[in-house]
Amino acid sequence: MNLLKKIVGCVFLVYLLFCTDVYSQDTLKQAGKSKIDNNQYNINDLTRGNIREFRDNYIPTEYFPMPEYMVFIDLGVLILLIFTGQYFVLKRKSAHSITVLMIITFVYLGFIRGGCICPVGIITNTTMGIISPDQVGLAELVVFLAPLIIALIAGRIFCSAGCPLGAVQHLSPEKKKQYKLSSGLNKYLRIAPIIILILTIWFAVGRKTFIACELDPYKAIFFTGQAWFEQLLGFIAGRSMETRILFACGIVTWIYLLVIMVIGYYIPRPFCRFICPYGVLLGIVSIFAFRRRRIEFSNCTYCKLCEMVCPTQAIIIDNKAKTGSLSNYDCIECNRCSDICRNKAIC
Amino acid sequence: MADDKRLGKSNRRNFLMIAGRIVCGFALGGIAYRVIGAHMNEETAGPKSHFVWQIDPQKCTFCNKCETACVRKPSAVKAVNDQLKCSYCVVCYGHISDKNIASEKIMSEGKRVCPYDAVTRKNYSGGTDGYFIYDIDDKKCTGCALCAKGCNEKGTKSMFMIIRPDLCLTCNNCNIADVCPEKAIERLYFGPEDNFRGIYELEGSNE
Repeated sequence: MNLLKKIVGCVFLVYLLFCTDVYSQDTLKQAGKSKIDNNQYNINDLTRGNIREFRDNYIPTEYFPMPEYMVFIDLGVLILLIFTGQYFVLKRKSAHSITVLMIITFVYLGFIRGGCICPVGIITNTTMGIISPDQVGLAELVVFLAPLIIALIAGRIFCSAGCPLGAVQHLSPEKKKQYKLSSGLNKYLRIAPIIILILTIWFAVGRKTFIACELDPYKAIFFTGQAWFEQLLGFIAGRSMETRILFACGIVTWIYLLVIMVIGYYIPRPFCRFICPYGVLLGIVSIFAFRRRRIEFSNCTYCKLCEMVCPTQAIIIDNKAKTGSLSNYDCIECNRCSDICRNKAIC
Repeated sequence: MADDKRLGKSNRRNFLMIAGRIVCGFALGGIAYRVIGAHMNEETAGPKSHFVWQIDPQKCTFCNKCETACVRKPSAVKAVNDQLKCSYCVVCYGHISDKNIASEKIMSEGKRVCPYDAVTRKNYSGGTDGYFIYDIDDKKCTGCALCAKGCNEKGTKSMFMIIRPDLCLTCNNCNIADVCPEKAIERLYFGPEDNFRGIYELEGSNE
């Protein structure tokens, strides 16, 4: 575990250095961009001689967006995270290993990339791509397909390894003894994501609007984090910086976020369970997964520990009738149940 | 679903499981084939670069909705003065709001258009009625479009609004595009030839 932390730290530092290089002015010049050299053309120190040159060179190309290949780095990180998660889950490592992955996801995909390898918006992107393929890039396709393919192998690993929205919910504070919904209410509330999924696809086909993105409360954190991170990079690379305090999203989103966080204190993972439309797709695929999580009843002592720690109420144990079930549709592969079970009944 | 041990014995459950896997596999493969196949074909090939949001300067009416609607606060929309179009007026409508003022008093007493005093004025030819360079400080600019409005209504239309790609968070659903009354916000492929002089070419336009 210590070695893992060191490796992650080194990779992050190298990435930081790399980013500053990307943004430095030399790189822009090499890319063939004309750009005002601030030392050469100071607006306060212009004479007749260089005014002509200043005019010809006055093109604001210092506004340069993320380079193209950053997309591939993002995809690489995402796929690496999912595969590491798959290894942790299939080997039934401890729940802390999943937390480490969640921290990396939260920092990289959430803060640095603005939460925009996002399971929510990608449904609209892909639906638009199926209708007219020039609307979607191959990167979006990979983001859509890679978690589903892994789900066909070993369940919803993306939810607890590569999803920035899941990371916030995993890392946000929660009560030790969580509140369990009654099975009837749980059943009805689980219909909501299916309705949202249908609406998302419907609106994507008809009006090309991203309805599910509006329901994402965590974008407030991610957008603010991304804006601050860009400022940090700008400071390192010596670009012009914003002098005011940066904040993203309106007051409504922040209140919505607060409400979801408070609900999340009592009922873990409220977004995953009752809102996320991509979770429906992942759940359906992971029902047919090759290596599903299941309960080995010959080892089980019906102690109900796994039912108690399960954040999505996927496990139901009946200790009188000596039966139980584990819903692969709901299970987000967080490794909590296999971590707490002493008899290795969850495998 | 509880006892997976039966999976080997029960034929129906086994069949359903295999059928489900095949259906899922075909669905995923179908989506991949549809998009990748279209990208392989040169006629229907997708974007070479990623999308950015940008304002069409021909449609923009400088209504100042960009300042408030952007999820990023301060807004990613900034005003820019194109020096190639600017005619270096003594009295700039993007800089000063009262026009009946002696040219010596402009710097000291003139009432500024910009509420944050982001538009700077610099004499470079000497004398009170010479040539003046106007520049907009992007650290102070909030994208309220007052200067660009003055310049475009009465001046030489050198000032315009851009969404800066380095500040834009490239949301899937641009909030400014939702509220823009002229539908001036467009999703474009960002190419290296775009120079934000206010003359970018759209697909299909002959300009």
